[in-house]
Amino acid sequence: MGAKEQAEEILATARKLIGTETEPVKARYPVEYDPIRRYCHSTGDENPLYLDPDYGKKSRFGGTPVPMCGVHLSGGNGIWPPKAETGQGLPPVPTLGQSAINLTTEWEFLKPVLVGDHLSTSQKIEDVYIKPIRLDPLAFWRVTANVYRNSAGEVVAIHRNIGLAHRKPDEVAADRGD
Amino acid sequence: MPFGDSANVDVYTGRGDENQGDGVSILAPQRYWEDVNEGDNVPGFSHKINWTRICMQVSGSQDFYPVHHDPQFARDAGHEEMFINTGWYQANFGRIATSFAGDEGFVRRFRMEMRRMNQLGDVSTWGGKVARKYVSDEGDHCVDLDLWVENDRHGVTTPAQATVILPSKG
Repeated sequence: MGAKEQAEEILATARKLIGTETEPVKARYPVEYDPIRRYCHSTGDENPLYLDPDYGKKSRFGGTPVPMCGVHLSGGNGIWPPKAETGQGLPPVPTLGQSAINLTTEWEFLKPVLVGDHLSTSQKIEDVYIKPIRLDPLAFWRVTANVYRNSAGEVVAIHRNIGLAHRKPDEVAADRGD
Repeated sequence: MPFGDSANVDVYTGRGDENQGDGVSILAPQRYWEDVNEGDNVPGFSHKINWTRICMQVSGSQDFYPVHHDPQFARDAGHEEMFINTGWYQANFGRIATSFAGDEGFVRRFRMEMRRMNQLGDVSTWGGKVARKYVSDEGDHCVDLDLWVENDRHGVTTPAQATVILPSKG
């Protein structure tokens, strides 16, 4: 079977996952100060609204808010330590190549998220399709969405991500018979 | 979202910290919707993407995918060099948008398209302009920002848009 036929077979399997949605899963930890501090440090952001708890308390938020997309830091289990597979996450989307790139992100922010909130996140697979890129004519594109809820169950942010998985150059070359 | 009585409130004016690589503060006194004009520049900053910054983007985003910190892994995947991660793009655009919003504002929407890479050795320059101001159907005083990051190799690599709700004097 050639790569194109293999890709179409994988795509047919992957597209059956479109619409798959998880229940909200509570994050490992509540929203904490230090991930926000590291996030701000990485860009040189010295805004005391995010870095000084006393300043935050006196602000209209009454606490330290998470800066914009930093919500993603507190919405899951983090990268470490490993957590036993719970079956609560999205199933992996099968793709031909395994090298990943993110392309587009979209966020809607509905309410501030404050230190001490404990977020829950639900995830959804919205689309899977093949579209060529410079590195791979059979790149698999994936559209997913995360919905973040606060401790009160209110939706605080919605994040849509468009990314792709491509083959490495040697894999593409092998397919061409180079 | 509701706004409190924010008239004449100054927020942190900030200062640069040369140890972090840009030395630029973009915080300013609270902006009000009435003070903003379409076409206004949105203050930005530059970052030299050196090894320290590569470490910081991993620390800040907690994105440990090796294409963002392992040059050989990136080259094996077909890229010229390791490149900065999604979380760090978002964090920098967030720094611009939240500084523009001030303590009394709120960033309502954000979108970005990563079309070209920013990688080790680049100087990435982040900035923007006010694209539109309007009152939403919900009565919010909104400002749409066109944002971008550019480098010497590609020009604009990542266009972005943000909608910021600002306090009104009215």
